[in-house]
Amino acid sequence: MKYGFFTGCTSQADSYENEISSRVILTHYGIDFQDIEDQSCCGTPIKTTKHSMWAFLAARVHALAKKQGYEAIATICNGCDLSLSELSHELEHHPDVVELINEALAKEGLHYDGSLPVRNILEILYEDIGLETIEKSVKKKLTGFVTAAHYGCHAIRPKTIKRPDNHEQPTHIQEILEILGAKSPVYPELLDCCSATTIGVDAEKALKVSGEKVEIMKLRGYNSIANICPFCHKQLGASQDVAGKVLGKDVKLPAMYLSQYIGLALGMDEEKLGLQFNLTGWEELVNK
Amino acid sequence: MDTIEYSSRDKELANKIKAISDEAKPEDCYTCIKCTNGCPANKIFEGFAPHKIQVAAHMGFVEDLIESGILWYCMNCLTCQTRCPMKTSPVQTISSLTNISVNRGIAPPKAFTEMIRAVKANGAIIQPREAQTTDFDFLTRDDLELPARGIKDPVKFQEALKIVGADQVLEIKKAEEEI
Repeated sequence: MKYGFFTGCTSQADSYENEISSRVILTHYGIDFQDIEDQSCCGTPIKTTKHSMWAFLAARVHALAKKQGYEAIATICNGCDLSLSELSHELEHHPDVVELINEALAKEGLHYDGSLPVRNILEILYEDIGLETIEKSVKKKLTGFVTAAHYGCHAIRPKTIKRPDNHEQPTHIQEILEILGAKSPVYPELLDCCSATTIGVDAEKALKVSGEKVEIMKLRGYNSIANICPFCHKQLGASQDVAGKVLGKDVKLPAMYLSQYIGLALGMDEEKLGLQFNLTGWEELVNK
Repeated sequence: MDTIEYSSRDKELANKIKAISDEAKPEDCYTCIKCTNGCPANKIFEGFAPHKIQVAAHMGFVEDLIESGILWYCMNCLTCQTRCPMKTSPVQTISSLTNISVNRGIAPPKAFTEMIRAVKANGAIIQPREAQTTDFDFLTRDDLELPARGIKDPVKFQEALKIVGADQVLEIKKAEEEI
C-alpha cells in the first residue's frame, strides 16, 4: 500500500517529535510512504464554526492524495484521522455540499470524488506491521516502564464509522507497549478526554482537566504516559508545567509518543526519535 | 392559528440542523441522560448538559443557548454520540447550532476566528516555528531537515476558501472590531 503521509498542523508546527519519530519508525518497518505535496489543515478545528470550510479542507487532502497517486492516507494525529475518515460518511446525503466544495476545489484544479482509505499510525503499527514483527525487532526491553496509555477520543469514537480501536475498551496501545517490555495496565480514567479542544475557550478549566488526569496517573503508580495524538500530547505532556500551576500540584510525568517508545525498544538513538523535544523529564526513566 | 404561540421558537430549526448533520436527530432523544452522565464538559461547566440541548433543539428553543455561548464548551469527545441508545448525536446537534449561530453573524470565541485567519494565510492553524529542546536550543523544520510546508498557490486557495464561507466568519470579526 502506497501511503500519502499527512502530518497535520500541530505536528508540522512545533510537535516535531511526533513527525520525526513517526517517520523513523514507519521507515524502519518498510512502510511505503511519501509526503502529500501542498497539504493544508484537515479541517477539524474549523468544523464547529464553518461546516462547509471543514468539508472543503478535508476533501482537499483526499483530492491531493488521489491526484498524486496514493492508495491511502497515513495520519499521525487523531483529529486529522477522524476528519479525513468521517468526510465521506458525513457527505453521503449532502450532494449540495459536495457540489459547493468541488466548486471551491476547482480553483486549484482539484476534484473530490470520494475518499481514500485513511489509516492512523496506530492502525499501521498494529495491523500493517503487527505485534509479531514488532516483538521480533525489540533489542532493549522497556523494563521498569509502567506506562499509562492515552488513546485520545477521536481514535476510538464515534462508533458509527470504523476507528483504529474499540470505542469503549481499546487495547492496541497497551498491547504494543507490553510487547516492548513495558507494563501498561488499564485504569478507570483511560477514556477520559484531554480537553484540548476547549483550550481556546477556557484555558484554565481545560488545563485543570488534563492536569487532573496526569495527577491520577501518578497516584495510580504510572511512571510515564504514551500518546498517539499531538493535541492530547500537548495537553498531557507539554502543558504539564502550566497545568501544575493551575492545580497547585506537581503533575510532572514523562510523556512520549508511542512511536518513541517503539524506537527506544529498538535501541534507536534518542535524538533520532526527537526525544530532545519532550520536555517532561524522561531522561532518568529512559537511561535507567 | 396555533393553539400556543412562542415568540422565540425557531420552527425551521430541525431543517437547519438536518442540513448540516443527519445524525444529530434531537427528535429521537428520550432524555435517558446517558450522554450527560458521560460528558466531560458537564463536569466542569455548570449548565452544560447534552440531553437538555437535544430537547431544546427538538422544541426549537435555542435562542438562549446560542446567546449564552455555552455551546462552545463542548469538548467534542463524541462520548454522547457513542453511548446514545437512540443513536442520536448531541455533539452533532451542538456543532450544528454553533454553525447556525456563526451563519447568523454571531462571532465564535476568538480562538476559532484566529484559526480560520491562519488557515487562510498559510493553510494551517499554526505556522511552523521554533521548538525548544532539552538542551535549550530552538530548532525549526529547516534545522531538522523536515520538508517545507505551506500552500503552493495561496491566491487560488484563498478564492476557494471564500466560496466555502471562510470570509463570512472573518467579516463578523471585523464588524466587531469596528464597534
